[in-house]
Amino acid sequence: MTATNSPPLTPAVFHILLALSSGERHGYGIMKQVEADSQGKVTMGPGTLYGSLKRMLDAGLVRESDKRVDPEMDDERRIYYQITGVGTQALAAELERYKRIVTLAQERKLYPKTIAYDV
Amino acid sequence: MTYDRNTIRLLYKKLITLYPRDYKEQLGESMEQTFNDLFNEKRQTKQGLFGSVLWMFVETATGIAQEHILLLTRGDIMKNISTNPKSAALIGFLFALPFLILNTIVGSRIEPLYSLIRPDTHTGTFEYVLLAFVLLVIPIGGFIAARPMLRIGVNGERKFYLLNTILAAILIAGGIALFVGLGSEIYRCDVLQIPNCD
Repeated sequence: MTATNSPPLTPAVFHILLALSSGERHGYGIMKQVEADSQGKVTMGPGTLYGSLKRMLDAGLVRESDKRVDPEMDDERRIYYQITGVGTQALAAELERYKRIVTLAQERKLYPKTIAYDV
Repeated sequence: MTYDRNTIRLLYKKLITLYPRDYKEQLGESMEQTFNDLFNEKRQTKQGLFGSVLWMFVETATGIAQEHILLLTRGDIMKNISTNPKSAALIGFLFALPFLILNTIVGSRIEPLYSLIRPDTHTGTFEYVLLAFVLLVIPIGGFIAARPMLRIGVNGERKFYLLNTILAAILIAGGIALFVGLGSEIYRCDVLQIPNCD
């Protein structure tokens, strides 16, 4: 799968890939990173997170890393997830789509005035 | 209000067992751990613990239904309900939901659904057809719940599952009893129009 023909991602999959792009994380770590990346706007429950992860594992967008202890948490061993090459390409393709939409919005002057000063 | 951590953890663990088998084997342990992490976080901050736990249960239950529906649409459901007793029980129970929902809507007069089902003051043809349908699917749910016990294993034996047996018996017997009971009442009251037959 190349960046150009990668299908659009669901918001949950996009946020998970974005969270994993900065390093391997376990489930709770992904949730916290998604929350931080979206400035608290996106909150995922375990059902949504693992439902998306299951489909991402099947599609080869992510893979299970080794099991290890999170030094900041308790001493339980956790499964870490990492983004794959296909996942990185899919994320890049999605960001490219976002970029094109932002460019289009700028051309059509759809940005609110408060943001228009920055672009 | 105090929340017993172990009981809640155990309940969540039980809830996860309702996922399809492959899903549960692959992600069940991670889900449980993530739930525990979130639960501990909320306990430490002591903010909205009850609401958060309730939300996680509801959200996970929605995910379970979604995974089963996905199996159904992928065509793996027959394999799942014939081999996994919990999936069969869950899907069998889902067949009783239409009657329970219809009964709640009519009994509690929940609008606008009530007016859609019963636009006039009396029960109409549409409602009778709907009622017949939701009653007929209940015993089908019973057979689905019993499906893993009807399957002959590789050693030539059938397996017995208590939950599936109870559920199948309730759904089949209950469905038939409701169908016969309501059917005879409708026949006496609406067809024969016997006065004061309710």
